[in-house]
Amino acid sequence: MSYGLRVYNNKGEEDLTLVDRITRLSYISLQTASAGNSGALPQISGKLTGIFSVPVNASINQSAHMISRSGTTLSWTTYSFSTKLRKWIYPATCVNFCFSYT
Amino acid sequence: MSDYGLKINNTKSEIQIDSLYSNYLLEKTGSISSLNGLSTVSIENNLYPPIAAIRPTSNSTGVCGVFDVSYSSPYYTGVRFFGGKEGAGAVGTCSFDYKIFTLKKELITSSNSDYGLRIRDSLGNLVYHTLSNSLKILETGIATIGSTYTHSSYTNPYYIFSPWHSAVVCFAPGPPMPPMPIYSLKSGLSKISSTSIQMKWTTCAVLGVDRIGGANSSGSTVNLILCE
Repeated sequence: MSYGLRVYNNKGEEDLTLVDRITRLSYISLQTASAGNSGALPQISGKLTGIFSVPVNASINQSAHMISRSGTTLSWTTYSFSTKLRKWIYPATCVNFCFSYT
Repeated sequence: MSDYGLKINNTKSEIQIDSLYSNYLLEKTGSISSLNGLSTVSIENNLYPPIAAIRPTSNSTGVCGVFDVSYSSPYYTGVRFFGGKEGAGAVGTCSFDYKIFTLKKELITSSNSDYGLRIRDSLGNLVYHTLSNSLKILETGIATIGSTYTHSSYTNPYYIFSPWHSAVVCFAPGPPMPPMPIYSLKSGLSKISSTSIQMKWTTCAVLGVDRIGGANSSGSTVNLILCE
């Protein structure tokens, strides 16, 4: 790359160039164990994102929310296990967050 | 509109850095050997959740991933990893490297802290610092549990995946149907080669015993992110 900004660290190694895809936090929400919901995030329009639903202080019999993106809307829900197995696993409180990257 | 600090656009006119959104920076890197179960790595108290990337180093039967994050209001304090062997009821270990990225207000100062570029937002929070490596995305794709994902352009990267699937399995051996263990499984990563990976199930715990027989999982595909 022969133009734009380049940042070097103290070892002379290139730390950042204009073609690097780095991440920026765009959304965060702490969701209780039973909640399913969605949110509009206009700030992610046209951007690639990593979306996460991460259990918080979970037990071994708890599962993460299922999270998905459609356009600029993030949706999350608790997964419903089959009737006979449901008593063995419960949804966890999760932190749902999204980072965008170029 | 971003009115503080430095605004940097990349070659596609997309913003890499500005003062509106903070960039994830490397806080901790390390290795965990032969993990069978759970292991917590602490981070400095942080108001925002960390992102953990992993790189399995075991043979292809080892499976690892992130189990949860530790939280003590209002701070996130750690990341808990899991490691084990592929399969329901299988017992074994997994070794892996990890990197934990966080949003930082300040970095530990060093004698070389006057090097490079540092950008703050309007509250004085650090959004970028040369001396702390940024989380950089190399490649993204869809991985299916049980199928190998090949990334020929990158050797030994770190991985992040989402969503984190869970499964419950209880085998039914047939009459007289003795009580059988109820296994809690998690989806995790297994190393196939330096340029390929596979999502697999590993046993997280035995939840109890029952005669129900059956298996159910929350899904079979994940979004896979390769990073430096």
